[in-house]
Amino acid sequence: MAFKDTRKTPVEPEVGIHRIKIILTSRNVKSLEKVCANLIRGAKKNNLKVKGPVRMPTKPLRITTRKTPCGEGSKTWGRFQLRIHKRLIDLHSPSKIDKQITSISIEPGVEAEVTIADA
Amino acid sequence: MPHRKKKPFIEKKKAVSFHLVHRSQRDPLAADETAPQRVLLPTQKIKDEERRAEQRKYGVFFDDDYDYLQHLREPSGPAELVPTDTCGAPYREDEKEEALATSTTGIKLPSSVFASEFEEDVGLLNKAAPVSGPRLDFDPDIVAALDDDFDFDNPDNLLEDDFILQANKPTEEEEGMETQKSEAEDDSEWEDVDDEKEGGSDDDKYDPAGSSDEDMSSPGKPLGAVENHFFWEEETKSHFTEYSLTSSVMRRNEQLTLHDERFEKFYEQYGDDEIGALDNAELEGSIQVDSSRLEEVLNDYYKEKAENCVKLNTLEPFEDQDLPVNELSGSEEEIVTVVLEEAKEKWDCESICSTYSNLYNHPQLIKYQPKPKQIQLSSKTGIPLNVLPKKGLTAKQVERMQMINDSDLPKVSTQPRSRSESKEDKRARKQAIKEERKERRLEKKANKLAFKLEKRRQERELLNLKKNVEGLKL
Repeated sequence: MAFKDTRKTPVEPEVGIHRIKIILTSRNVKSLEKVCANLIRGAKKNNLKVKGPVRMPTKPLRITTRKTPCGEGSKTWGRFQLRIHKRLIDLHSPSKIDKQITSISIEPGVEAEVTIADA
Repeated sequence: MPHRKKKPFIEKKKAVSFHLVHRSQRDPLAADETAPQRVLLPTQKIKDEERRAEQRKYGVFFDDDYDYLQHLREPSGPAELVPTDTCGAPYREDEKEEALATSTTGIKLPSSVFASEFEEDVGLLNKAAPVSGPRLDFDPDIVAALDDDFDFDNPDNLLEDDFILQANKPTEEEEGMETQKSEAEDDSEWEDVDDEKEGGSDDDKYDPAGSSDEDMSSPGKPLGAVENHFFWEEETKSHFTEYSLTSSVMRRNEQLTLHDERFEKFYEQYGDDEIGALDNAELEGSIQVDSSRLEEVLNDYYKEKAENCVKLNTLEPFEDQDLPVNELSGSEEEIVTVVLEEAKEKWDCESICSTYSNLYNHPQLIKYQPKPKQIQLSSKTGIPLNVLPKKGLTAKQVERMQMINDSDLPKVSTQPRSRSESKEDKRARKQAIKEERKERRLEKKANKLAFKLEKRRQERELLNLKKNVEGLKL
């Protein structure tokens, strides 16, 4: 019979591993996906535990206005939209590799917010 | 949702957030290639109300959700380095200030990931930018000359033709004489009249001071002879004064100036006076053929040659085999067979065709045969169009048409408008014109319809005739 090992293994490893959450927001999907792919590729290369890009529902900011500058004419309305895409990436990484995170090439137009917590 | 109490990946209270931004141009590490070009900038989580209060302090009275504080800037004074209390982890202190809860988490991150504490005044990209605005380091007389109102015709403002000679006048004279001379020569200098006194007083100051610190960084400026006197003594010209200025666009701070001076000193070592004995300089004189020196030189030469020969001897057997092969292959490579192509005869279609005999070849011009038009039936009469001859008008009909009938002419609209017309008259007239036009319209419509019907009838008749009557033998 095998006994379950009830002794708790130390959850927190000795090395300073941080939990990093990266939130990427952008207006265009292509560059956002590119940055996501780069990040995940880099993390996997360093054998880090990555939780793949979680895609938040995209928020369309809508503005509907009359097309005309004056009030004359048949009442035509124009619908404008700005789509914001958001991706989340979770990593477990030691502090030394953190440096590489800052050196990923970020496309213009993609905003990255990094939240770091101790594991 | 069954799993509401799932542990979140990162607890907000124990974590620190950053924005990943490009490194500031003012950061000295911006020029460093090993340092990451992006830094983590801690986010500020101030509440709306506090932020608005802060904004109002700086004169921003908008009450929306936008953070106007990000556009405010520190007044740019000289950056000071203030020693921190702990030599250890300065960033840790920063994070402690930012963290909302009483977290003692010191998240250890390499310091190159953050922006440097010390920022230079001028950013990296701005250093090479040309300086605009009033250049205060220029001489006042230069500034005056660059001014638009400078009077070039004033004889006082002209440059002396022999200013080089004047500048090179002997400096053994006493300084007292020089000052007098300076004042006398001031009149002949090309200074602006207003600046004369200034120039004179300046020169007086130069005398007791001895060496002046004025750095003549732009050579080739025509100076007054007096100023040259003093500068000649002071040797502000450097070895590199005559060089191009493109590299001196970068403004020199103290460290760089020190560096420049040190290099100057170092470069003096290579001055003409400093160069030591030249071993291979040309020597003049004659030497005896059998002198000992010559013998030694010859012996050295033979020794070297002997060594080389020895080397060859050991390698020869191998090289012998290799050499001919190499030679052959080399020569083979050199021999390039040039294949000469005979000049082929060029044929074209016409000439080829002309070779055919006419027994078998009957050329013909290709004629263009347009598609024969389909017979189109008129939708109204059923008769094919463009088949029946068009009927013309008889002479009587033509005459009658040309005759203008009185009844056809309009009456009311042709009457001239009388000057004194009352409103009623005007209204009546206009009504009459409208009536006339209405009648005319009706007439036209009736006419059109009549013509159409008539045309149809005639066409039918003709067809009938053609079909039934024509060619009937009676």
